[in-house]
Amino acid sequence: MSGALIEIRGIEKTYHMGKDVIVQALRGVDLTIARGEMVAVMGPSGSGKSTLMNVLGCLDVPDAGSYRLADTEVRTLDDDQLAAIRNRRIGFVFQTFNLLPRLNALENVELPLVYGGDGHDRRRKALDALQMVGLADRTGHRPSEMSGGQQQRVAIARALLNDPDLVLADEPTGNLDSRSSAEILAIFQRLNDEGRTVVMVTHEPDVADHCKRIVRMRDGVVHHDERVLRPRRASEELETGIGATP
Amino acid sequence: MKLGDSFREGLRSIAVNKLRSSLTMLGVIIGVAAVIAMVAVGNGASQQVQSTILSLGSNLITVSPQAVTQDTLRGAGQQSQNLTLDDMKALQDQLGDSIVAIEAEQGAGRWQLAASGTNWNSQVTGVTEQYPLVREWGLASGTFFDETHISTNQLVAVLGSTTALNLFGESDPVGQTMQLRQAAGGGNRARILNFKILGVLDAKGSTFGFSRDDQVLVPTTTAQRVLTGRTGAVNAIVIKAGSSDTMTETTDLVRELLLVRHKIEDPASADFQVQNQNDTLAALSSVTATFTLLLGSIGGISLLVGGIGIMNIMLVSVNERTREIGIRKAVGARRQDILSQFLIEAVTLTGTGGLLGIALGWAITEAVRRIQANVPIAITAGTVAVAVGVSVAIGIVFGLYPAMRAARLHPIEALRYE
Repeated sequence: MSGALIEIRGIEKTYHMGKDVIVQALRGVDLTIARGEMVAVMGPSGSGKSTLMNVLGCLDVPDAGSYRLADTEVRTLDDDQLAAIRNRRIGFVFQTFNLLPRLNALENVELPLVYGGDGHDRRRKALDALQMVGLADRTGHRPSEMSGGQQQRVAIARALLNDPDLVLADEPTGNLDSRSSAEILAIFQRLNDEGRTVVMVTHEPDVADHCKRIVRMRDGVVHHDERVLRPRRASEELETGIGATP
Repeated sequence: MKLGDSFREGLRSIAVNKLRSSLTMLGVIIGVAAVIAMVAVGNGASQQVQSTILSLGSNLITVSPQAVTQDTLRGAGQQSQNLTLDDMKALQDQLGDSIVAIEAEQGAGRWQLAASGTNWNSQVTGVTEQYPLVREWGLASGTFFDETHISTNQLVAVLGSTTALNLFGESDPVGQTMQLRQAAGGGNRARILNFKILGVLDAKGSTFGFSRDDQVLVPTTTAQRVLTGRTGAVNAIVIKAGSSDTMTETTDLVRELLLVRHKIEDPASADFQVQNQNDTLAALSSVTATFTLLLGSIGGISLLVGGIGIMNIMLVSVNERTREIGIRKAVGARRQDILSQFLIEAVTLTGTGGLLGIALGWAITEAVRRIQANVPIAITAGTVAVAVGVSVAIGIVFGLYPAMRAARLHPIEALRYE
């Protein structure tokens, strides 16, 4: 077993939109992410960063290339096996939160355990996760009764429930004000400090500056890959009141 | 996903769209209620027909005269003299213990009855001594006439309960005398005959709307020689077979014996016909079964329409919840999880509709029973079981396609759906 959590070689993905329009979203991406990293994927619209996220999250299967997640080759798995990987190994955080509107916070957090994992004690596990994101007092609230920042924290609690290897976030602060953004980033950094691997797509440099590594995509390939020498600390910014965005 | 979670989800989404769910359910409710009520009425009708037939006596074989065509000249059936009292006696001798009882009947028309200053008009029929055995009809009081009364064509009578009540009121008619009167006309002189009353029959109710309790029974010979003048001939010979199983056998035997007695070689030109009660019952029950089936299919069609409503609303529901399906898939729901979630939702809709439909169907049959008291209505456990089974099956059949569409959604496309 190598130290790499994610190992991608020559990934290609082409979308057929309608009859004649063919979009080649990924044109041979190579990327290795080790356990414990916190990576920002940046790039302009159409650079393929969202497609890369979908592939990393096993929501989509590449047309060519190899994707090994924790030493499992993902490209050959069927739908149900992919669903099991999403359930056990990956936690998703979306820009639009994607909570189920009819369920309250606790039930939303429980959802991954409904579909797999150790369903025993799922209520207690969900409560612990909500406590971890500071929302233990909001268990009975519906998403419509919470602020955007609170909803995103519920979504993070949901992502953590099955103790995943990888937390994937797609523009997690895109719909939030600067203070809420800082809170969310602080949570991600804390998770990373605890050893969890975090990969987030963002187009905001301020957000990316909180990560340890920035991968820039352009035209379906990795264009630039750099280490951030001193990532900004969201928790310190919250204390000093500067906020994530100057 | 555990079944309990699926059920909770199904109930939740039904509860969220209360109006929509209840309207959808209404289709199934009406369908199931229609099936239950229609089949109950159909079953009731067929039970009524059966019990009516059986109230005439069970295991009966009836021999009646048949019109004979000779050289294109066709004789009159009922008036023919083909069947006689001697035929009956011969059958009685030859069938012996293989039958329970046998009797011969001769109608004597309607007569004016008079007793103790009262008048009544009744049908008079000549029968033989085993009539109570054949018809399983006991006496409320007095005795029936015996062989001696018959062989000596005495003027004795047994009354139906209605006739007795109308002529004698509350007093006991047994041992009293009544007059049978016929006015002059049609070349006949006016006649007055005095009959001694031997007994009164049990009350039996009506058959196909005709009261069977308003009649006068006299010895067949009396009906022949005194009342009608048709010496020897009878309208019918009625045999009560040993059991339902031996009926076909006995029917064949009766036919053979009579053919020999009447010296007829070709059974097709027989001057009599033998009818078996089982055949009559079978014919009637096939009619009522068709009737019930027809009523059931009318209900079935409304159930089908209800099912299409379910499918329609489930498709809408899947469409509306595309994003939810995407989210569920993203956190690890497999195809079968999504499939079972929507299937269970559909089955919960139709199952609940089915149960409410049974309640409504029961209410309708109760209402019909109150309005139309003489129609026996039967909701059987079988009908209820079929209705529940069918409504659940409709949920599965009409919920399957929408559920499969939901299960097949690509997670990315579902998440992007606006």
